[in-house]
Amino acid sequence: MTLAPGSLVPANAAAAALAAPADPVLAAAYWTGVGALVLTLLLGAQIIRLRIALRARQRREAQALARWRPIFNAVIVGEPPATLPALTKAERPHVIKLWVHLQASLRGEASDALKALARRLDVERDARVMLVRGPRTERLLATLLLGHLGDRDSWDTLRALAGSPDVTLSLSALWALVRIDPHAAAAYLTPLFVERDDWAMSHVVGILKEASAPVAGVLAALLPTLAPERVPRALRIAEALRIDLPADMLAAAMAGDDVALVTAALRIVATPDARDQVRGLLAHPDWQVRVLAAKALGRIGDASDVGRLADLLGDREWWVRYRAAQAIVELPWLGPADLDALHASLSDRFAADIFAQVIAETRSLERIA
Amino acid sequence: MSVQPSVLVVEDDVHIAHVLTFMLERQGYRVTHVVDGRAAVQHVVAEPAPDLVLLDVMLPYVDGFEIVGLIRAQAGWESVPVIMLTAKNTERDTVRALDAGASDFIIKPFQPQELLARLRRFLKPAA
Repeated sequence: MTLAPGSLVPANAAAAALAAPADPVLAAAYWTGVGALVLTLLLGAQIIRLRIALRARQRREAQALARWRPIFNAVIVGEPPATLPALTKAERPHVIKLWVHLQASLRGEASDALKALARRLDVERDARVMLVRGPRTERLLATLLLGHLGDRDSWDTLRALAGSPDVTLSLSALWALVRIDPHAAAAYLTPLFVERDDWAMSHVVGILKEASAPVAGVLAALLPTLAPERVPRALRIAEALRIDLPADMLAAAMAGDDVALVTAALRIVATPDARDQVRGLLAHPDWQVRVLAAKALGRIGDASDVGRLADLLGDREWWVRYRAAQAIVELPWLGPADLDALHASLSDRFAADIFAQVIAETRSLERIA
Repeated sequence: MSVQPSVLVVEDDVHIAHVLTFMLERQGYRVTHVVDGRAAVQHVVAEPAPDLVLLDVMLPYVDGFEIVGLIRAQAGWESVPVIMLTAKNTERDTVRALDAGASDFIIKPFQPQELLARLRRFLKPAA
């Protein structure tokens, strides 16, 4: 097709079509559309940029692992290479990530060999720098690495990091402090964990379990000084870590009027010298106290307590009946025939029902095991 | 025909799988690795039995307990020793693994030498 001398007409027509309309409403719609188009293009470009960066990072990680994995494997099986390649800056986070992962998965000689490898590579020094200046991911990795290595030089930095508003970073730093020096960490962390209700007990236990012996001493010294509202949490920590506290402390807690305190003490009472006090709590007006008293008596009671627990099978609260039944069934000196005889002797329908249910549950579990 | 004992490793953690494969191959075992429960089920159903299975408990799609049950029910696989890898602090898992038919278990974090020693109880030395 040939164009007439007026071949610019189509171009003019296109320009006219793209020009902003004169009408203000149409012009607003036009510019909104242009803006949306530009933003979409920018977003698309950003997505492409991020994808390229991700691919590049994955490629660098794959290259780092391909170079270092054989060395790690040799170290793990007890055959460390005589010489090591230089660890480049680009490889460092990937290698530390692999190291931390393997360190958490292995123990014994393999774990020690990995620590020796980290020291040969001098990654402790790198990690200390990462801890202060690195982005969040690197700081987390550095925290874990320095914790596994027990790097005492990082104590102050980790302690500062423990106060970070970033909960993950803060908990990792606390974990590292316990790994580095359980005694010093127990002295520092135990009062902190007693104060901080916002830290989940599972996290607290996960961190403190490596230092349960020093924590026991700190808790025993701390308990008499605590405000009454903090004592239940301190007792919950002791319970979770299976720490035995002095009997006189538990006796004092159980003798109080504060239900939270009494129940917290009942959860951890484990010695027969508390029997009389626990027996006295079986008739407590608060049903939560009766529940935990029944459980406690199941742990520390003697043959004379079967009758007391059987009386609780007729309690007005279902949970009290259920825990009392469990406590009876778990008494080591009662065999299946004794339990059946006790069940046959129950005249209260609710008591008989709950006892039959718990016996059935227990026998079902025993069959599975 | 190969005389190397064969080991099926069912492990979803790629780093641990690499370590296990390296350790076992170095001992002269022939290793097949599958990465999740679904692939393990397909392998058990379609492939001949190996000399030993090293099986992680926590797996995507199908867990290790179910897989060991399948192994015990699969013709030709019934008597294959199965060593399960269970996490620390999960004593119930250990009991469940043995009840499901596992021959032995290893607790994670594990010691490589202990794992190899337990394997040797079930496997003749590789030629």
